[in-house]
Amino acid sequence: MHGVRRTWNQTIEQAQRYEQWSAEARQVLQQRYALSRECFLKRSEPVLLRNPEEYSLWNRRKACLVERYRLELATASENAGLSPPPALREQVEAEFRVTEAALRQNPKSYATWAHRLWLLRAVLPLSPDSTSTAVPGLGNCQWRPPWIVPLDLAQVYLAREEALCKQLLALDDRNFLGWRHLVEVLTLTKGIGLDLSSSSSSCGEGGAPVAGAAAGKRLLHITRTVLDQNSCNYTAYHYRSIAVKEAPQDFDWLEELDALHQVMYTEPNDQSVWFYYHWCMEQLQQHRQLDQASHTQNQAHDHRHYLEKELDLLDALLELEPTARWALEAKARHLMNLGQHKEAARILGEELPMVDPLRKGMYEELADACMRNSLA
Amino acid sequence: MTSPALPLQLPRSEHIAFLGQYVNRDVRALPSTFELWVTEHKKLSAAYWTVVALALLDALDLVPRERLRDWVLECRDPCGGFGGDVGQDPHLLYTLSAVQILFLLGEEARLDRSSIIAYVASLQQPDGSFAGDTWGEIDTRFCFCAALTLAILGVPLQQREHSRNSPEKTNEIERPIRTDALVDYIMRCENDDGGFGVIPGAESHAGQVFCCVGTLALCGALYRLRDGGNRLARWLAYRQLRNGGFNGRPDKLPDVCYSWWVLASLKIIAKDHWISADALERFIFSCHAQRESQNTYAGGIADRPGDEPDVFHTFFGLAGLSLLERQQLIAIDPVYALPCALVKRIHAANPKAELVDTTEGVSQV
Repeated sequence: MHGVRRTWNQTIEQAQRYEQWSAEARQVLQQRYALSRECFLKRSEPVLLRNPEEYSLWNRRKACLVERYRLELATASENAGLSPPPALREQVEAEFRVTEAALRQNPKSYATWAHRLWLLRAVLPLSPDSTSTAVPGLGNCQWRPPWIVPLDLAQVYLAREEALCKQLLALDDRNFLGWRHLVEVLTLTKGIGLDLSSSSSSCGEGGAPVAGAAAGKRLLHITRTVLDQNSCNYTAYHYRSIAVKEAPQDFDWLEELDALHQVMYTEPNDQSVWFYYHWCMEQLQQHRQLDQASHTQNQAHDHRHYLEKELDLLDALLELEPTARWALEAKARHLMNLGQHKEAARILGEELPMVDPLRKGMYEELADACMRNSLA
Repeated sequence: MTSPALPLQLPRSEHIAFLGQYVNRDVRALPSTFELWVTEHKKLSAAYWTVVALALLDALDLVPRERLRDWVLECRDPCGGFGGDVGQDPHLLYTLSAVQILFLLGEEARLDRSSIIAYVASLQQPDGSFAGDTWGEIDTRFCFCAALTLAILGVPLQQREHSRNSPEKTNEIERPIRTDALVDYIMRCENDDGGFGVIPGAESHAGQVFCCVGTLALCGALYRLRDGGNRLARWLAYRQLRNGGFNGRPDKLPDVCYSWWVLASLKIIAKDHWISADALERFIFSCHAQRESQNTYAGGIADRPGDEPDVFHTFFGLAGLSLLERQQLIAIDPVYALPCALVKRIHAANPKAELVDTTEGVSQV
């Protein structure tokens, strides 16, 4: 239970309501295999909308879909065509509808997100490079034609997922499970060679499927949009760092750092910005070291020069805010990278424990390590 | 608002009375509060949290042993796994809770060991990860549930190449899961900030960090943490906020549950001195439920000051204090989430398993 304020007197009506809801939930749960499929689907819906964490009810709904699939499989004629039979499509749509309603009520329901992801995996065409055809829960029954979801329908499904994630992220831009789902959707999109950024045109007409970088590019675009609304979003910075690895050619490091420098000045106490700054600097250093190996020693010179420029910037910020602990920590780190271990150790061992006493033990240990490095 | 004047002295009898309401309740009775209603599907986990909290207060004798044991066994599915309540589907989350409860009660002989091991092993995926159940949900929490369930049952988990056994001997030991693949999968979930996410590439989260670090500890693979664990420890240390509480991710509100997830993780990698124990203790006390008159503790701990207390947060608060070695609580093991004495008993019963010292392999910088 999170964020439930203490209530001193629960009314009798409230108590009776919980008892009644539970009695109903238990009844549906007990009869989940005895009821007809139609009846179970109908009766489990309101129970799941009240408590979407009733995972066994979601599981039974998955089993209903599998049963329906097997039924269709048994009765389908040899040349039933490529489209999924309407009855199956209808039931798939019902699952999308119920999970969406449940998520709108509780966007943090693990069981609901898991159900929806299972559903997507089960209905989407297999990725061309997929070696496994098994969908969890289907056992030996393989999710295979005679009918298959055509790519244009898959495109509709995936575009709807992205839209739903974006809507839920607009309500809570840190929603852990919403972001996970979005990334899973982009991965699925990549897996079957679709490009959601051109969702207006059908993939079938588009010709060759777009390769993996498109998913990274898409994620870069989405995180930029979210960060433009709020530049202190750790989640968005994290997924940006993941996206860059997928689509490095669409990323301008210097432009990124320039934008970040501005946020560091306006939000000197926000850790999301500084964690991302450390990440960017670390990546830049690695890139430069790679360059160095293949180029001249001028590059090494260049990196020193670069770190010194960053140090000037931090010094200017510290002049305005001498106790900005993130700027102090970043400064110590740059100094270490420049080989100035003594000064770094002084900041770690003397200045930081003063401005951030909670983590005194950490700073002092790091200062000791820094001094040992300087002697080594 | 909470009154700061209350002393930092654990209201033991009030906590025991609060927890006692839950263990003495008829599990079949209909729930009459929001908390009971919303946790109906995971009663087995609620029971574990309640029982282990009582164990930390040295009050296990309060638990109606036979009744609880019989109900836990009734939650067992023929496949070997356990559901969250009688009639719920089996899942790794509740299989772990069931095993933990029966060991706490000293009733572990009633467990069908081989069917549980087979159930857990059946959920390992080709990439080394574990699904929570046969429907395939993937989450690093389930990796930990799998590893810990097996460890409590005495199954050796240490990675083969780091086993102190000679290769010939190793082959004789049962190895129901692929430990190397599990460790490789966990390491794929490590982020550049040092933390771990729910799947590879997902944002770091203190709860997932605990599960991943716990799994690495059980597999003897803590040496694989980047920068000797310092990178992770820094991310964890910055979870502590000015009021002493921990959050689970940057820029989020503090919550007593992270007193456990964060502090246990730091303890496992031997960096618990990187945060302020005094500040954390004060925060945990500020989340203690108070009587309406505001000048005495009522029993039970909430997620944040002024919120409704529940058994989950009561356990997390007490477990945090136990890790801090405050308030004369029974010592808790940071990986097993069971009293240290019980973990010792488990190790002694399974000399073959060669359970590793949890801090082994993390180099001090």
